[in-house]
Amino acid sequence: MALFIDQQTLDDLIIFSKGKNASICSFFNQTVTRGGEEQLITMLQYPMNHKEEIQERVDILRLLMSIPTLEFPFTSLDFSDIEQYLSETDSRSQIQNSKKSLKEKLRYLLKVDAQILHTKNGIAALQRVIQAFVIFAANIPAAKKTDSWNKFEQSALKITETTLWKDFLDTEKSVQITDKNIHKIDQRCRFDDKEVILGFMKATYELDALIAVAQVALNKNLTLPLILEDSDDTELDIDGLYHPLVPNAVPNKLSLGHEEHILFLTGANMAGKSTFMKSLGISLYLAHLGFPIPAKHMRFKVKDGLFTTINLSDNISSGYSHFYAEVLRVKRVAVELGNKKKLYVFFDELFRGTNVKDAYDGTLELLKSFAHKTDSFFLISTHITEVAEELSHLNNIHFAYLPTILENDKPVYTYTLEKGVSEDRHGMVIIENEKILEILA
Amino acid sequence: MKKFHTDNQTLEDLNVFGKFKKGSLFQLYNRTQTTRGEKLLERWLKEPFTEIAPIRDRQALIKELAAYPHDFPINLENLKKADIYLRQPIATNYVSSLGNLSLKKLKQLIGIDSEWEIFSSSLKATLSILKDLHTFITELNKQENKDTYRQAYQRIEYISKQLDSAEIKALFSLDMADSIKDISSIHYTLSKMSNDGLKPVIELIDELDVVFGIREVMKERKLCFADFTVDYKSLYKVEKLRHPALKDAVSNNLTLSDDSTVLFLTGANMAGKSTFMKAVASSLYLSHVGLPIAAHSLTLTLKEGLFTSINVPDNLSKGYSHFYAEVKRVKMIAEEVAAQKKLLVIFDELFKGTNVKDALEATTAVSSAFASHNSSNFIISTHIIEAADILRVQHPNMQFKFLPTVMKDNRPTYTYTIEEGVSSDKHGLLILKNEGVFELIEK
Repeated sequence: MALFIDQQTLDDLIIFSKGKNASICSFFNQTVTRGGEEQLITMLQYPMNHKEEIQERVDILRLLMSIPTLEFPFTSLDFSDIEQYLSETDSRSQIQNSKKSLKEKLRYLLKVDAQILHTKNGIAALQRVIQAFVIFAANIPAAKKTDSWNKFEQSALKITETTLWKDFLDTEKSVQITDKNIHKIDQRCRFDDKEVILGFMKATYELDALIAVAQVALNKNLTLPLILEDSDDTELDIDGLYHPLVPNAVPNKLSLGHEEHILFLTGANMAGKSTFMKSLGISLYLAHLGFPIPAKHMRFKVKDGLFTTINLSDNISSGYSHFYAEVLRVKRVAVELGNKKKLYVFFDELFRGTNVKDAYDGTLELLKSFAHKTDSFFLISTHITEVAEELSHLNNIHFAYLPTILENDKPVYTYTLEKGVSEDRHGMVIIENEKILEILA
Repeated sequence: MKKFHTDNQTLEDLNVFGKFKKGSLFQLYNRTQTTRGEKLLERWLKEPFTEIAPIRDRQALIKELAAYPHDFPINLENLKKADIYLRQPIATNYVSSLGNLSLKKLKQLIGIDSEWEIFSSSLKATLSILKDLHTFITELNKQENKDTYRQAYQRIEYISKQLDSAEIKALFSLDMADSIKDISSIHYTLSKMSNDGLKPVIELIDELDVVFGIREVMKERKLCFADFTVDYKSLYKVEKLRHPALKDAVSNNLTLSDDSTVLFLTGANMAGKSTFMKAVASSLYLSHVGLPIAAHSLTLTLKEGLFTSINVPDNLSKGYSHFYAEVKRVKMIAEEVAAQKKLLVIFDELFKGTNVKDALEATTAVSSAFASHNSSNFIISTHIIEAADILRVQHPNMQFKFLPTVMKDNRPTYTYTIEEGVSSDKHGLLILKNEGVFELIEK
């Protein structure tokens, strides 16, 4: 089962992007092969909701990250030869074992047969790649190998147990590929043992994607997340969290425990609420992939879904419609919560499509309702700080804010999360500074 | 004349310009048949008057032509053709005119170009336009009450006199030949009409084009002309006001006068606050242009400016700068108000990007400060109804009205009719409840 997400979440967190814009995908995409890139995209599309699966991915990545001078162990040129060779699946293209007439032999001597050349190149490249995989696996100290790696290695290297490998391909035996045996090898590679070979190729692509992720993690100082048991007292613990796509992002710390499963975030408009929400969203998303996250350390609980509403499209000009879009989004989440799903739910500036009064009422009621859903996590940001007063008696809400400091009447932002509710009353300060009331007096 | 004070935000709110913009005031009043007429209407809408006389003058002209029994008097085909001639330099003397034209004729004869033909046919078209205009003015003079549109009438009279001159009249009866002599003598005579050539004639035709268009609009919709008064310091009294762009719009009454200059308007989101405020603002704006408006009657004092904040884009992402821009604008308006300028100021949901406390404090403080100035009128809308409680105590003569929401089968419906009092409709929460959100969560 995969983690519940939707397009809105993918868009909010910029997991993928159109064109050449930076995205989480482009952030990790340092794959060597095209197949590796496809694997990475597939992985990113399917975050997981099983602790064991996530842990397996984390373990493999931890292993890869521990390898000194980690590098993709294959030459990318070999892959184009293999891909070209394997992509021809028509049985008529099979190399025939026919006794060649003298005439044919003569022609063969004079002019290279393109098909046989491709086949030879493809098989040789395959040989090299398998060999490199074997060496790569063998170079990892046995003590480091975890169950998940062994599982991965075994399934990838099933190919070395085939007679195809043993009889022909194993380079240690140095069997020459000749005109005499090529038709046999071709038959095995492309037809008889096709599944095993494709399985092996998929594993190499996966290795490509994983090595790319591990390399990015090493270069950018990312860390692998730790999974908490559902019963753990700590709800979420993260330190040094930053937005990977924002240059010079300020790191933040957040530690929630003792039944705190709602984070109530306030702060002025430019104080960095959305960016903080996006960073946390991205980290939770990556954590459910078992990927390294942009933080110093992170402990989290695996849940069933991640719903963010940060940049809800407001191209609809009418206030009601935007409000209604928000209501529908809330309803969507409500349905999942009603189905006993454990969710991560993010709402940025909830009900901004309506008036302050309605937004106040709606936010308050909704938060009271969310407070009963103790196995889901809610992050709600709002500029309506008054809601906090009404909720201060609830001990499952953690109040945090992003401060604004006025320096020479100009607001300055620290982008550092602090405990409590924003009391920035800069609205009135600005009005006073502009002396509007004096003008009218 | 002083310029009418307004700004882009206001013009955007009122949707004044835009030939292809749906429901723009320009589109509503534009039934012109020529591009020049279109441009003139645009100029009218760009420059509302700040004096009563020219407003009454334009109103009178429109009223007069509305009563005129025939259609637009000028043949459009001729008008198009005449354009070429009208753009010609005027002939300064007969000899040079003759020489110039002879050259054209010669070129035509040896087949170099067709300038001559174009010139002469354009000239003939011009002449028949003048004939049309002459007939029209003669007809119009038969109508009564022409003295009411003093200035406009003076313009018409001026042209009328020239067209009545023996020289021009002689041209009308001229049996037009294609001879150089005839054409150049017509050309010379027309050039003599005024220093500006035929400019006054063209300008009158443009004006007629616009007004005949407005006449069409008046036939389709029940419009009225504003009555400007000097008996008050500030007055805006409207009966059965409708939004100009809406068909079957609900009509409303409103009176803002010296002893009650501020309207404090509340109501739910869809209840029609913005529509009402736009209707008020556009009726005031159009009245200062001298155009008829969508109401039963409107009596008002002359204003020097109009400022509205109705569709301020909700750029939360711009954050501080957006709020700051809003404050800056309020300040600019405050300065004008403090300078005893006569304005209509409309604020829809002031300070909505900030928290409730700030919005409440700021809204009451600003409204209260405005209320002490009776040379301008104000309409302020907000969702923070608590502001009304505070303001009611401070300013007993402030008006409190609201647009109600009526619940039918738990669905909000709207009457769009203004009522006395303060709205307490909170249907946002209701919509959440209607969608069953809370039950779903608790399930």
